[in-house]
Amino acid sequence: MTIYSDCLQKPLHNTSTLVDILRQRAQNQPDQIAFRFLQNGETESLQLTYQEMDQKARAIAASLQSFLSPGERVLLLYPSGLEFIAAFFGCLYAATVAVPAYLPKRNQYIQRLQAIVGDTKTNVVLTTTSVIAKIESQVAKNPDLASLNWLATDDIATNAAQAWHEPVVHESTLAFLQYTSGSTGRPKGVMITHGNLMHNSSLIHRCFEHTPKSHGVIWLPPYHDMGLIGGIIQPLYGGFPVTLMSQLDFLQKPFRWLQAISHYKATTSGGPNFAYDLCIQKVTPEQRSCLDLSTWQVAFTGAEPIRAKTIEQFAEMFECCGFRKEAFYPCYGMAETTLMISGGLTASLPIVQKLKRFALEQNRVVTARNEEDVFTIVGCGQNLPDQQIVIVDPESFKECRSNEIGEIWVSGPSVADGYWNRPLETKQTFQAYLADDSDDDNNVGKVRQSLGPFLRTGDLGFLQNGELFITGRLKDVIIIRGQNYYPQDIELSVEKSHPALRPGCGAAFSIEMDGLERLVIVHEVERSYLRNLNVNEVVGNIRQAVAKQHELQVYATVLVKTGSIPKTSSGKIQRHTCRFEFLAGRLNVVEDWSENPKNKAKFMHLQAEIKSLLEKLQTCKQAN
Amino acid sequence: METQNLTLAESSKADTKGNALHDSLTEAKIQAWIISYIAKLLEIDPDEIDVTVPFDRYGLDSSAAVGLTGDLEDWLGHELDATMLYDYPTVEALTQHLVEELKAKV
Repeated sequence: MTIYSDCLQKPLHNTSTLVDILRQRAQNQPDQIAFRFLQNGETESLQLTYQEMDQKARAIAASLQSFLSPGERVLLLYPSGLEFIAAFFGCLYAATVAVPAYLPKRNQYIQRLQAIVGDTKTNVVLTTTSVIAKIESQVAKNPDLASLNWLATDDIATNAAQAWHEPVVHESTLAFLQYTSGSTGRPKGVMITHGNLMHNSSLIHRCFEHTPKSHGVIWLPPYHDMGLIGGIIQPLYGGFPVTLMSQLDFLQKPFRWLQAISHYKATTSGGPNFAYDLCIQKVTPEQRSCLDLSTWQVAFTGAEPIRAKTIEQFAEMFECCGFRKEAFYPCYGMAETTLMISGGLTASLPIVQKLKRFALEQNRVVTARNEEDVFTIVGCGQNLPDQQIVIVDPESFKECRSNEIGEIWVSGPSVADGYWNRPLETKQTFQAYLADDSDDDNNVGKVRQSLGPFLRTGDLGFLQNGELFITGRLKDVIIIRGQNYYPQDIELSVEKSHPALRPGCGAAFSIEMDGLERLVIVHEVERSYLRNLNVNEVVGNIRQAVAKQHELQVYATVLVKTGSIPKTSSGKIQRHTCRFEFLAGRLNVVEDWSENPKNKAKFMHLQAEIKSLLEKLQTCKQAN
Repeated sequence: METQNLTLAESSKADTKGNALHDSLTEAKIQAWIISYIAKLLEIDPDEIDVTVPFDRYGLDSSAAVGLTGDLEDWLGHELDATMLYDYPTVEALTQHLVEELKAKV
């Protein structure tokens, strides 16, 4: 593959891997700044040129090569920063497989880390001296982690680079494993090859219209696919600088993000929808008065539902800073497809559709005519080159018609081969085939590219004039602030939090309130506790357990009568029904609590009654 | 998020801004700021907040906890660690720690 870019920059030749790209950039443009990291989100602390990054990566690779064979897995445990990037490329330079993971804090994520260590059978961890000092005592208590070989890469002298020897790396060589949220006990590692990375990087490069004059600002964490592939690999691929900051510094003061965009005249930056919401909430008029956002060309938004309201409000609020609404770039993607699946044109406004909410909840696309009961949905762009997107009935595996909601299936060179060491899940998720319906009357003569294999994304959506709209998840995954949470994990924490809660009889789901996804817990109370229930204690325990173990705020908790939670005949919790009954105010409530009394189930019940009365009135009116 | 700046008026009167700022920031004022902040954030009555009960018991999640340190930092005019609520998980513990930290700075 040859990457042609601006005439100012020497084109790269025969680049089929990321190793080729960094090597050539280090030769062609050695002194150009590749990565910059802002300490505390504000002060400029460190920057590395292509040559310096290449040298650090070679030094780390050389020390890995001294005791590891190509293909072995190496865990990366880093805070956001340049050291992570050097270690990541160090792994690639040694033809080992990088495995970025969350940095455990206190006792959180230790279980997940342990599961990843077990899954990858790795025995090497790359990290920094300060991380080792911080988590040493915790690790010592855990035999699985303590037995690993912990290596601080900031201790490796750069002259070690001389010992490096270039390994054989192809397009098909595994570059890294992207661990998806997965259920806590069984995280799954998506196997990403150099070929996947090169292909997806070329798609992003083309869609975002990147040039060597582009400049990125990224606070997304490097263990997140958007942070790594969009924030670190894309700038290297396009040969333009990126300024990074930590997610914590962004969350502490969201203004820092916009300040960095303004200061560095960034052209590309973004994040999940909540990031834009945080800016709307927290950035003051004084702060706005010193921002220049006129250089911002691609304000990408993805990884969680994109809200039309957020786009509107943000564009309006920051118009005075030179922000253009056209800069908003809704896109869709996931770790299983390296990153990006669909996206639009940088110069056009996001495509918005007004649909009937009620119909949508029943998986039907009906355009809303009046203002009542409208759900405004934002399109996630179009299909991209060399790739096929089909909407499929998840039961029959037959392709849906235009405007019909079904599961989104994807095939193309960016789709990974599967999950590491999980043949069964790989087959289910990555090797789906369409049912052959060419005999159906309405399909005769229809030309189809292929029946498969396709990746099942697990997302529901529809295509309309080529634009992809996402409407929900096939499974009960809860998405809050771009993170996936598995309800069964939350339900387990809830039931363990108090003896009054009946095991296996709870449901966790999310509802949309004021444009935000909010967590709701419905749980049955043990019969023996019904009479003297200490509601405050139970609800307090639930909130605390969920905040501690999942870092989530419970929006509403409903304690229901013994044996009343909706279940299937085989005893499985019906979360969808539960959610529906909660919204309709039809649960058999013992007691409930909400952050906002308006959303207490009892109030909702009242609201539902009023709504049905109104509907009746309207029907009467229409009949007259 | 709107926060009242309790120190502004007082500090402007003093000769050295730093000292006045910290003298005027009594334990009671810091505590009142934190309580009012959390009450607004969670849309609950300030009286419902018990200073000895951990923040997560009120359902404050990690991103809100980090956000609190940012707003508190602006109000105090003093740099704070983004993850400090993990170490000082109640209104009382956080207030006491802040008082110590500010004393040490003066």
